[in-house]
Amino acid sequence: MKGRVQRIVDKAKHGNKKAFNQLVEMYQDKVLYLAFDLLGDWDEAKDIAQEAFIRAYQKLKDFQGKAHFSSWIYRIAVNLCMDVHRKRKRSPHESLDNTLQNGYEPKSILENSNDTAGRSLEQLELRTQIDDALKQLSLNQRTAIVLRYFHERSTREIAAIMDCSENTVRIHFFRAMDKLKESLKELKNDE
Amino acid sequence: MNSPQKNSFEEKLIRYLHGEMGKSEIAAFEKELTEPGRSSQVLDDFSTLDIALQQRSRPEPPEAILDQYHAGLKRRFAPESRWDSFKRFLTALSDTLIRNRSPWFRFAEVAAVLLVGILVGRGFFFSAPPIDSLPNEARVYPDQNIVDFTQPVSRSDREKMDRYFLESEILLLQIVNGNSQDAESMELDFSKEIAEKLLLKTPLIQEKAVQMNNLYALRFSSRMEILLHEVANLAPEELQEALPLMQQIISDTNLLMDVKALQEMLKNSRNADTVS
Repeated sequence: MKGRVQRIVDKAKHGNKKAFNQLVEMYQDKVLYLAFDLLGDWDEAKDIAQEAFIRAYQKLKDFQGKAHFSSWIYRIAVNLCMDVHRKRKRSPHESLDNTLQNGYEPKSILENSNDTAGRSLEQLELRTQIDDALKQLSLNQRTAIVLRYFHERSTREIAAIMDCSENTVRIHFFRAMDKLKESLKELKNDE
Repeated sequence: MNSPQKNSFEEKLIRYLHGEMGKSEIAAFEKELTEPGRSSQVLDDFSTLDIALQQRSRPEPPEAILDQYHAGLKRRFAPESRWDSFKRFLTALSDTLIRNRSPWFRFAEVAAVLLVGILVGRGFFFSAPPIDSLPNEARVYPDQNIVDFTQPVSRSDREKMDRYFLESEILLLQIVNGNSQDAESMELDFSKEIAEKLLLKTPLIQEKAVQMNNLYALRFSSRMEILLHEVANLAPEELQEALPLMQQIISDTNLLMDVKALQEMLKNSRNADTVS
């Protein structure tokens, strides 16, 4: 028996605009946050997320329903973010790192008073370092971490979104975690 | 780092960390960690990171950007109302017509606009009083049926009306089938002759229509009277300009359909007499 989302997707595939609008309302915020987590700039994330939905609408007939719709729309968004990342690489004044430093807010963890209250300074420092270290990851490693921890996707879903095998995703995880760990060690040594 | 053995350990470590292993696999991996050359330190470090990453709070977008984003998506994908859909259809239709229009299409457009302008102008500046508000309206005989020939019709009156409607029909067909470039096609002299005859008969027909309280016949004869004046006074050199206008008037006022309906009504009335 088909799930609710799949039924809505089926209707949208048959040209029901109301059904597609339902899908947009279900996933619009998630896609926006994902684009921000990967690009670190809200304005750019907004454009990319909108573009993702436009592409999804145009290519909906190609969606075969093998993966979950959310994975499909995430994949479109991730690919668009990768395109932006490649363009940034070609333009030295707008590198990902620069944008992340300007737009990405490592304070977001620190600023959450509920989250920080009662926690040791050591833990806060550790998390700030993690945010700083995230900026140093490759886009694949960053995507794997973002999808896993900030968007609660399983390894299988991440593999579908990134169009690679589950083992490749695990390698991305391992290397990302390894880099984060090294960053922490360096910071401790600096202290 | 890329050797199969190392990769295998990396994968296992991540699967262990993310809870993707079965019981037997967990036991085997934990045993592997105690082997010489393996350190459980890496697992401890990763576990700490795992917890810290899970605790990361979500940054919130600026309200203005969020509003813009939602409004943009709504504009693109929110379902249209029927009115919006109709407007979109009309826009698409006009776009198609305008894009594809040929010089002939433009000429037809201009001609249509001019024709509508002339008709509206004539109606606005030279409009006759509406037939429906003539003094001999239904209120004169409020209890009687004004639609049909329900009043008794004498044989001579019926024959006069029948003749009037028949000649009117002939004249109307002459005009409708006439060609403004060819005066002969309308047989102008013949048409004028019929029009003059009908003009003489019109007051009598109108009188009979009022007597019978038949508003339909009264309205027809009044409209016909205007046309009859036009035809009776038509000069051959005016034909080219006047004919299309007369044709348009006949078409707009449904005179041909009316005369047919009146003939049918009269015929039914005659049949009723025969039956009675």
